[in-house]
Amino acid sequence: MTAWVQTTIDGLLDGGSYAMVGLGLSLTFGSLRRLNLAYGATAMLAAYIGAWLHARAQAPIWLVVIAMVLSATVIGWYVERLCFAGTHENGSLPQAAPVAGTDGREVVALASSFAVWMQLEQLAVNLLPRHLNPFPSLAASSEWTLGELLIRPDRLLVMVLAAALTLGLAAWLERSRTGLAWRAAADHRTAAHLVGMPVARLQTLAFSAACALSGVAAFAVLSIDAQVTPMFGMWVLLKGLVAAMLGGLGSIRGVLWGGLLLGVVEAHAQTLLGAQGREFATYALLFVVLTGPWWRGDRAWSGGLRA
Amino acid sequence: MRFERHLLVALSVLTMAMISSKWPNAHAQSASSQSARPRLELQCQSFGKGPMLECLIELANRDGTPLDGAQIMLSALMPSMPMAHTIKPVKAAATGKPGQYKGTLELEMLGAWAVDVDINGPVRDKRSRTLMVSDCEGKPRCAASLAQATDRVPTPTGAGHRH
Amino acid sequence: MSDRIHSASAAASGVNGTLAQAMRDALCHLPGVGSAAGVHAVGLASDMAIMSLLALSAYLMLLVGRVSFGQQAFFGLGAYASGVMSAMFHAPLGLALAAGAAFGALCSWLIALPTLRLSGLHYAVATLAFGEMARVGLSAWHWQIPGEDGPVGPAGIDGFRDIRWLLENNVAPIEYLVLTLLVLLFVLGLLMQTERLRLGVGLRMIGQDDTLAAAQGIAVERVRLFAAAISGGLAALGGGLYAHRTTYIEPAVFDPMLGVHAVGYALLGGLGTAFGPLLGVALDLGLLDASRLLPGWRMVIFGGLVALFLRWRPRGLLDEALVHRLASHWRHLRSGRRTPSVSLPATRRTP
Repeated sequence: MTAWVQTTIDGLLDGGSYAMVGLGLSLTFGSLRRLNLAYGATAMLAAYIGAWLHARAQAPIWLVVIAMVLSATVIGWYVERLCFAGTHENGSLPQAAPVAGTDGREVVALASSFAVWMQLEQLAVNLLPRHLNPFPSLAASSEWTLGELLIRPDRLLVMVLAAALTLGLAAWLERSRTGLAWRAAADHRTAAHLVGMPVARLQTLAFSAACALSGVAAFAVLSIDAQVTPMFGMWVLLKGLVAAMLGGLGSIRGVLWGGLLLGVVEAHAQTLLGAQGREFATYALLFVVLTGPWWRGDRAWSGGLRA
Repeated sequence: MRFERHLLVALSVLTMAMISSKWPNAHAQSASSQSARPRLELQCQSFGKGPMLECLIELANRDGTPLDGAQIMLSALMPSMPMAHTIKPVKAAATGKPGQYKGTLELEMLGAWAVDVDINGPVRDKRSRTLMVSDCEGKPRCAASLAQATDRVPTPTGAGHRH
Repeated sequence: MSDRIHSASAAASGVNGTLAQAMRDALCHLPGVGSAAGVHAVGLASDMAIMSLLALSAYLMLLVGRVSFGQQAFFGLGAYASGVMSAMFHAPLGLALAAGAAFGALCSWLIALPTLRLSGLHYAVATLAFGEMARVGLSAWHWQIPGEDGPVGPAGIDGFRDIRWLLENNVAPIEYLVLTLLVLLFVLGLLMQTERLRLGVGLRMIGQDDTLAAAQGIAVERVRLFAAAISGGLAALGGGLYAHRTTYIEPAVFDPMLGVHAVGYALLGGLGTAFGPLLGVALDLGLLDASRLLPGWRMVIFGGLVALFLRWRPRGLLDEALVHRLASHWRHLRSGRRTPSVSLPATRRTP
């Protein structure tokens, strides 16, 4: 019984990192109705810049954090300008798109974001060619014991941070005027434009905020592992995508529940089926959630930004 | 229209012919059957910028006698991006010691590389080993070790999974 | 089983055999084939041909209006299936490749059943998820049977080694290249023929606007499923060719970057003709990679090109307008008369 509880606790703690990583994706999708496939690569390049500063310039941790968040924001701005800026409903595409129809523009943005994913990943690997790169470590040296259960305090901190960020962002979206503006622009772009909101600027801001969040998430997750590898970008994208989709793309609190659920499912899959079972369970969960028959179309997943 | 159709038919016939015909002795020497495959020892060291990979190959027959006079072509590819990172193949030259050959490959980046050894005479075989080519950390040369299964299983943040 | 197949093909190969033998003698005596540069060129050409098949499978899905990030899964499944057939069941190469392609087509069809009804975005993510599921599944699959030189078969994460059909049957790399090119040409011919049929026109109509296509009487669901099956078969065929070329495969080869590259080649090269994806492959593997133009920046340049083209020329280099113009010039040249060339008006903006 305690083994089961221990596994669940481990899963919840891991789920915190997944939720934090998925937050930016959900925010992007909620406000722009576009999926940013370059999200993982953005986080990875920012992480590599942080690792570079740490290794070459012996930068202190606070500087690494700031550098990561700033570089993630700048990279996000580049991605947004190149891939997402020209693809909104009231603009028209210059020629017939590769995928036309109602979701043509979404898919065009998706496609160009994967092209930028390739670019950013190559840039990161060029910066630090080694496979394992050291990262500033905030890992805990010992575990807390709660009766028979073991809890790692660093992972607990990450989970608490994830919950705080998620719930804080959700509350901000619900209560503040700017949050209301973001949600309005996400719900109906034209109407928001007509009442005088600077829609393009709001959405660029939301996008940059999402990328900044990815920088924070990357730091939190990597500081526990104390190293970063070229596979980090794919990991961020896939875990974030699953966490965001499980909770409903666009729903901020949903990302938290989605991440926690993913963590728990993975932890139990690992106990039952091993490391590969764990990986398989992640993708199978995503696949089943997307294609399940209880899903009448995917309208609910395409809802706008909601707290 | 008819021209294209005829061309298509001709090509299909040619393809089927080439696939289905039993391959009689071609120009190459007879391939080694499974039980006569030579024994291969491969040791590689990385050095320099690139990095460069110098590989030492030792070939022996099944019974242990060294295999001389083999035509060996060395090449490498990255398992995770199989058709990119093309590396120029290199002929491995005999070093003088019986059954020993040496060749130097110019790789493109660090990481896991599958080194292919293409043996063309007197027996024909193709072997490969997956090696981890890592940073020498100050030393001029270091050995590239065989990639372990643990190198391929991803850990939580992807650390440990090869790129 | 393999004996009967061999004797049947031996009978058929009576005439074909002499022709094939003559061709192969000619090929093997080409100058420079055995040198390092020759081996490099032959290897590069084979890789480009195999990658073209994968790019064509992504192209076919793009034609019907779906971005699929899972084509590498069918590539991998086809590679494993044809490897199993030739290394473990001793089937001849043609049968192994055909079986692999059929298996890939079946899997693609099965996966398309629940996923094609999703919108483009969710379809892309679902295929990405399936691609990873396939990869992880293959890395957990162990099935080894005793062979002459030790166990042979898929060994989980270490992959499937010793797919030695080409070595055991004395096929030189250049012969295999010719074979691969013939297969590619055959596929191209098939695709170009379908462009002239109602099926090909229907595929493109579905990609442009499926409601309108349904109003025209095209069975949108069925044609899409069919396209998915064929694209899975193409990818699997490429996978089978790859497995035999390299003699070993491992699950790490079939990661999402491969599928992403395939879609990139199709988008960059152009969606107007089946030669578009080939152009994309030639640009990346041929120009950027092999020529060592700015090594280490290949993906930056390639990714940048794809993103820019999506912004300003979304149907790629060889888009429909260009293809029409080229085709009309060709017709003009062939007829020899000074017929006024029909040029289509520039594609209208989508409303």
